[in-house]
Amino acid sequence: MRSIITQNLSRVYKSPVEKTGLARSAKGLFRKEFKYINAVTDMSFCAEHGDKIGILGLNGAGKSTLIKMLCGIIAPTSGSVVVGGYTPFQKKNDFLRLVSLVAGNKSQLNPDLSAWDNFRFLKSIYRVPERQFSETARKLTLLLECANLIDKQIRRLSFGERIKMEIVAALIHRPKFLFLDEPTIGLDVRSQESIRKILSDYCAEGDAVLFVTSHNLSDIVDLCNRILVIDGGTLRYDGGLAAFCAHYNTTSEINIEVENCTPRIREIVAGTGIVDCDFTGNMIRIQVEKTFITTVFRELIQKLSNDINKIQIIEPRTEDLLKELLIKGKVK
Amino acid sequence: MKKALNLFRIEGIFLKYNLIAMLQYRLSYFLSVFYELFDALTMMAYFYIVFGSTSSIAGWAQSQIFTLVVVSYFINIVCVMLYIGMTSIPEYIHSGQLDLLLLKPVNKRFFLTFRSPNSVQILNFLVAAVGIGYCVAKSDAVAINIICFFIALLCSIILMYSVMCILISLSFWFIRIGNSWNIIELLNQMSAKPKNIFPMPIQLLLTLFIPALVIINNPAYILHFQYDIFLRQTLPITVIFYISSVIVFRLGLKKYSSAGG
Repeated sequence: MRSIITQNLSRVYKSPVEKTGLARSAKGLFRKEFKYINAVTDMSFCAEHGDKIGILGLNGAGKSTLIKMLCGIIAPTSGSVVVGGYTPFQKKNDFLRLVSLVAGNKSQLNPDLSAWDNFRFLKSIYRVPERQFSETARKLTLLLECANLIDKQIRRLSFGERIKMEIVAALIHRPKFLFLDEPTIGLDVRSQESIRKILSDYCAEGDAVLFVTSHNLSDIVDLCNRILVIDGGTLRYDGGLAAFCAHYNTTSEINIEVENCTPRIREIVAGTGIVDCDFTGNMIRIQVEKTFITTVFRELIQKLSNDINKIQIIEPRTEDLLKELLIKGKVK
Repeated sequence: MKKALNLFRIEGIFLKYNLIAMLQYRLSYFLSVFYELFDALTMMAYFYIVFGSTSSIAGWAQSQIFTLVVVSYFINIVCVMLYIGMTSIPEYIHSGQLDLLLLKPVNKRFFLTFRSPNSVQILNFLVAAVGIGYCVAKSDAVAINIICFFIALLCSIILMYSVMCILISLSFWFIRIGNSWNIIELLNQMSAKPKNIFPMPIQLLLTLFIPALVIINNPAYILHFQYDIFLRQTLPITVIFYISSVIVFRLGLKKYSSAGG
């Protein structure tokens, strides 16, 4: 069953043209100029229960705007979006009970209340049954190793501790659609790991749909089974993470350690149909097209068998591959 | 009916958790209780100083003007206790914090305007309520005046809420609107005087455009003079401003584009 359907979704922001200097700013008091920014353009995709979708793109690509439209904070300028059978922007209470948003740079918790009082407040607002509330809060705080902090005022918690509480607060009413905007921003490695594990388990248990935007690509790799790559507000890729890597990862790396990097060795390496190579001391790094990797590897072994100390084929980490593709804008 | 009961339930939750938060800060707790009380006492002192030299002002006797002062105090306390938190909305819009608040399954207008009550003002509210009771008991008003007085008082609360809501909703368009709502407090203080002392253009301005006279003056006028002003002025102006505030708020929410793209 398709739980999210977007069709030709677009969002245009009307933004005032910033004036610099006193004279221009003063002029702006009487005559305001506006520009139009296409934050999201003609985006169509579907999601099903259990999908864990990572939204990738550089700053200003339209990731947050897309999430805001999906959870109903802002309305699309054109096109349509249906989430769980509802039009998000209508903000029907039944719909809002199904969704939750965690934004790393924003807080839904009252800083003057303890975490526990905040959870109880949300329990009352969402009308969560007492038993379900106790079970969920206890389990999540234990898993996130923050059970000993729930009596502390939110404003007295460290940033990482507060984010953990935000995650608990977001899951108290057991939403079916979970939207995470930079959920692990500013967290240490251990906290990142535990948050990813919680979210992964939560989605697996409840068959929830998860959307994550993050510049921490480990979030995407660990959590998601599908990615949307956005560039300049346009959807460039929609599909599985593994398929994405297979499609865009066209080269592999061969690392060779030699006794001495002589001109003869350099000549042999250069003549093997490589994409790129780098000589550093006694290390040679060779980029080879995937289709030729076996041939090149065999040829190197044959010709340099007496010179090689160590040789290995390195596949790039998914995170590194994603980073490279995003930075170089190779996803078309 | 079910919806209304749910809103009362939620307001109870807001008051409870606001009280818990306020009790964390002892000094602030005591200061906020006494600030409004001192404000009222200052008004009382001013009132008795003025009436030390005269027996009536513009045809209003001492007890009648006392009602004006108490009504002003009462309305101010209800505003501070229940919906003063709406003055944070411009900041929520500016910071994008509104995003998360819009996702709560509660009527948005209600949630945003009533979510930060000032629970400790319940003490001042009780003092003001006793003051209102005293004014009614001391008046020579007949039943119809008294009934209309209490309904007018309710209308004043709604009207005050509506005017504030309209002003605050402007922040959806202009983001920074300064502390424009403070103008209401100034006008309310100005309106805690018999309306006859103002020239007609000022009376019209404070009745039709910024209805401070309707909020403060009309209840006292209804109790001590004529109740028909309730149907001629208070009720229609309250309805018009309330509907306007609903429309402006809805348009504002529609306009909201969040912060940070």
